[in-house]
Amino acid sequence: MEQVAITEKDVLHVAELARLEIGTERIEPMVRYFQDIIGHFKCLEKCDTDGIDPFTDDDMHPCPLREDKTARWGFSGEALESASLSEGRFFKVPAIGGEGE
Amino acid sequence: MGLEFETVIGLEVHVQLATRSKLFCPCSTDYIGAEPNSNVCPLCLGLPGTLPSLNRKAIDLGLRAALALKCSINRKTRFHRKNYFYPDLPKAFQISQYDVPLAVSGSMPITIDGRVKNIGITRLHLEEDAGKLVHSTSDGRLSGAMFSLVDYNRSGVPLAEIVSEPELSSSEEAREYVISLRRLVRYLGVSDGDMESGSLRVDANVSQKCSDGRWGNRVEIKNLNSLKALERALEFEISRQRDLLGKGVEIIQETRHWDDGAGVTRSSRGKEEAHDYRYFPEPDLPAIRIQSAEVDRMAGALPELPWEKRERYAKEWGLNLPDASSLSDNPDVAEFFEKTVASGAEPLLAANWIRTEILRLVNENEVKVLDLSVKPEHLSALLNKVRGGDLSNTAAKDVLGVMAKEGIGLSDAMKKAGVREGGFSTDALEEVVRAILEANPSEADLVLGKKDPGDKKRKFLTGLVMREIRGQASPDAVAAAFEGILESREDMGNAHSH
Amino acid sequence: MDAARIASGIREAEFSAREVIQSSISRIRSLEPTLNAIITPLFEEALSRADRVDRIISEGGNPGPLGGVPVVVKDNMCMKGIPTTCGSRILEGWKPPYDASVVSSLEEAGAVIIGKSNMDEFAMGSSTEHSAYGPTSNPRDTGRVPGGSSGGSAASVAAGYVPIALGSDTGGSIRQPAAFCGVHGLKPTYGLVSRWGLVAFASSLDQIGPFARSISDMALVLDVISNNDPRDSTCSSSERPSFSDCIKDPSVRGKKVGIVREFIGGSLDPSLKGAIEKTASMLEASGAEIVDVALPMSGEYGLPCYYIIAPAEASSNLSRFDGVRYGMRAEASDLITQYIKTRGSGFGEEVQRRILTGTFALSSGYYDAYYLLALKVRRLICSEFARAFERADVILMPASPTLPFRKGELVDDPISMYMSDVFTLPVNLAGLPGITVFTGFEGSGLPLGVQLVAPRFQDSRLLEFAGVIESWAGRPGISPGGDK
Repeated sequence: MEQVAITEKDVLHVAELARLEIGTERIEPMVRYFQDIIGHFKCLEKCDTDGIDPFTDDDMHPCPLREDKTARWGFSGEALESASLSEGRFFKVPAIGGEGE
Repeated sequence: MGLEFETVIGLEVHVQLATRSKLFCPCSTDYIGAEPNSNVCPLCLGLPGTLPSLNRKAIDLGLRAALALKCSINRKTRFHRKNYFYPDLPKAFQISQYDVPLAVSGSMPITIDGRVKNIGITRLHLEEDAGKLVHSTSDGRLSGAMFSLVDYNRSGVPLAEIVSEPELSSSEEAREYVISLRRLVRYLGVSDGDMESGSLRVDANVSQKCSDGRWGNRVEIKNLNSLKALERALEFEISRQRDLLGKGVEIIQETRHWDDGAGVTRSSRGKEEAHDYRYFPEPDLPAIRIQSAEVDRMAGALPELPWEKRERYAKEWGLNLPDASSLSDNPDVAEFFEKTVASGAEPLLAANWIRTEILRLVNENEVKVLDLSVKPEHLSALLNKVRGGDLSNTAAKDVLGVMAKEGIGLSDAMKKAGVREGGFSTDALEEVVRAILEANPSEADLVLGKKDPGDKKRKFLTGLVMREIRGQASPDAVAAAFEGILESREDMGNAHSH
Repeated sequence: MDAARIASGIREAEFSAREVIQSSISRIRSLEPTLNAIITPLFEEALSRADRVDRIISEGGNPGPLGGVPVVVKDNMCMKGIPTTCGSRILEGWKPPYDASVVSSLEEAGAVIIGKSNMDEFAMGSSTEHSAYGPTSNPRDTGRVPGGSSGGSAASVAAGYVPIALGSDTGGSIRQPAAFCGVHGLKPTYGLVSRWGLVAFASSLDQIGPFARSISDMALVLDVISNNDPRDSTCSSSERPSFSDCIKDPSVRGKKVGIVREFIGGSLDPSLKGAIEKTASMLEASGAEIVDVALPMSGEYGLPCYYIIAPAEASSNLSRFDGVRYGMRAEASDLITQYIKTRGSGFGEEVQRRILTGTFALSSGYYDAYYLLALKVRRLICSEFARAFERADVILMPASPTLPFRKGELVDDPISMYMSDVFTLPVNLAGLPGITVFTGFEGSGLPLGVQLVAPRFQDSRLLEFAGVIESWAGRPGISPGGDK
């Protein structure tokens, strides 16, 4: 199995992309896991994939299309019930700050 | 030598598609004014276990717009996931399109300074809309808000994103482009295309090409909520960029936000680095196969497009460009115009009357032009009378007014307006003259007694006649009738005096 | 007693549905402290459903083909108003406002759902040790794991809580626990069963399927759950055959059975090798021809291919768990902190590992080298199976490389744990149907099973072969001892 140069920085960057906090004591084992598993991935490079279209889907039917009719779900109140933070009829989130688009 | 610049603008326009239901679920798209989070279902809320189901009409409308824009259609097109975290995005990914969009490589003509310029369309693709955020700050803006409220009513509404080539060179061209695109989507019934209510949104990309060979970086501008904002923002940004480049400063490639109140673009806060959207094909939706027969049928069923109408009005009927533009701007007005001409009206006359009188009636009565009680055939009949000299302009306007108000036909309206069929005959005219003379004896005597220096009294009396008959006879005919009456009066007078 | 027998017994008024459910409940109560196969028992609901079935019968009506039969459903399938946790802290207490398609189908057929079963968190695991609600024990040997991720469902059937159960299979999560627990387990063709209401792990690989102790029960359940569902765009709209009819007179005469020599050599446990060889000779004796087929790509590249694609899709599917609309939410004064703490503390270790590797494989700069490459290799694996099926009607291969391992043995060695699915995951990559068929027990009492794989939408062929094997191997009994 190949050794791969994955660093703590790489893992923390991915954790940021995935909005996942890794406790300090778990970073080291996570880096090792990454190195191991990506080492396994590398073996795919030995496979001859020349000329293969990754998106062939002859074995899948074409996307079915839905008629443009409306239907009311009618349980919108229930939607808010599941939220642990809400205000009136809105879902609520704390300060967005620098997040987002 | 002074540094010169060429502005390069590309526009990304999002239009909400005029479907009844959302893109992937059967919730209604009619969310404006609805109670927050009342127009939702497990799917557009992104609940676990839900799966998207593609709305056929959204594909149809997207295709229609793409064909009108002369795009090439990708017969096999697919959706991709665009992954990012934001509270208005319930699944934390938007189902959009990436490398195989619905359509590519089209163009749209815009008219600038009387010339036609074709602007390239890079692509048209479909994607779902996000929900809406309400921020807790007093100005409703994000910066500094302690919390925000989320409403998913809009989440999942279908959008078509139309990207132009960076071929617009000024804020005027950008404005014209948006107006043309808006006109087109309304024409095709693809979208309401309304910037105010958010069914048409514009983001702009602006950069400068310098005469010394430098290319300024591209800046994206967001938060353009009206045509005015678009123009002002572009003007500001173009200045800002030219100013910096003139000083030798590099333009930072970034996204800037238009602050309409302050009249400036501002760097968007906290945008450390570009998003990594981790696009991959949407595994819950197989590829969409678009049949050639379907594309051909749709292309054949396209209505005549606004710019095609404009050209035809000018070529076939000799309208000038501004008039042709204003008549082809609204598909209903265009229909009214064409039907009027088809009923036999002379095109230029019809054009004139529709642009002025008909549109005035539409405004006054606050109805749609095709809902007016005056139908194109009626207008045509009226205009034929005007053209044949049977009705004067003034009289015809009165009659039209009555037709619109009372909803009655031409002859009845003419009667009601006190207007005579075929205008006034000599006898009828003489009746009126006699009546006027009788009603104004002192002036009449002066004229008869040839004591009317400069014909002042005669003119006065003739004027009264003209007013009475509401211009339904020519001044010559009135003068002749007047003469006729005077002569007979003289004869009578003479007869008496003998 | 199998499901068909229970349903007919209730119909014939030999016993009532209530009696059946009560018996089920007491079995569950007595064994749960050891097995921990159920996260949420639904005893009250089950009894009232049973009463409804009894009422329908007494009124001369038809309660459906599964009328009164107790079933268990894996806890990643939504049930309206019932806690659905996916074995995770992050969904603790969440009650979906809607039913999964298969749940509606089961209930319409009269089945009585008696519990939501334990599972590896978000279906990521091969031992049911990655559950936030404690591990499940293997009823055949409670010091060992039941397999995963549908360990709770497999154990429920092996322990005789219920005759049938539903699980989900993304890389082997039905077939491997079926082998470990000594029951039959089927992963249908991708697209045969609707995924509406199944909390997604890897969308292009997930399928819902049944566990049973008889092939006829398996066919019965498949008939009930394999309906076209327009809410799932990946679900086929083709007409389904009657699976129960297909297995009425199972025969393999004149059919070709493919064996993959490379798979049964090497490090395969000798008893499992023996099970394959015995099954092959038995099928030959029944009139089938044994042929050699090769699946080198699946063997060599299947694992890495799967462990790129599945986590990649999972990383996207699990992004929605952010505490805003449902589920656990960590207190925070700003959104980013809310996101990272909710997800950092709500998701377990294995789920976090997979989300991160999946995110990595899709990220800018790595997408081509990993995700795209894996998709290409997947196409090669599909073609490889297609070529094999030109020579054979079904492929006979192991379901697992080892016998059920001991609890705790692999839980800290994730990559070794992944090896458990080496024979099952290529089948998901190719979208094919695969079934684990119980073939007996080995010396120390651990169960043996074999896997059969067929071309897409030939699920009935699998059931037919399985039926023939079962007629020779016999049906598995329940553990601890006895038969119901």
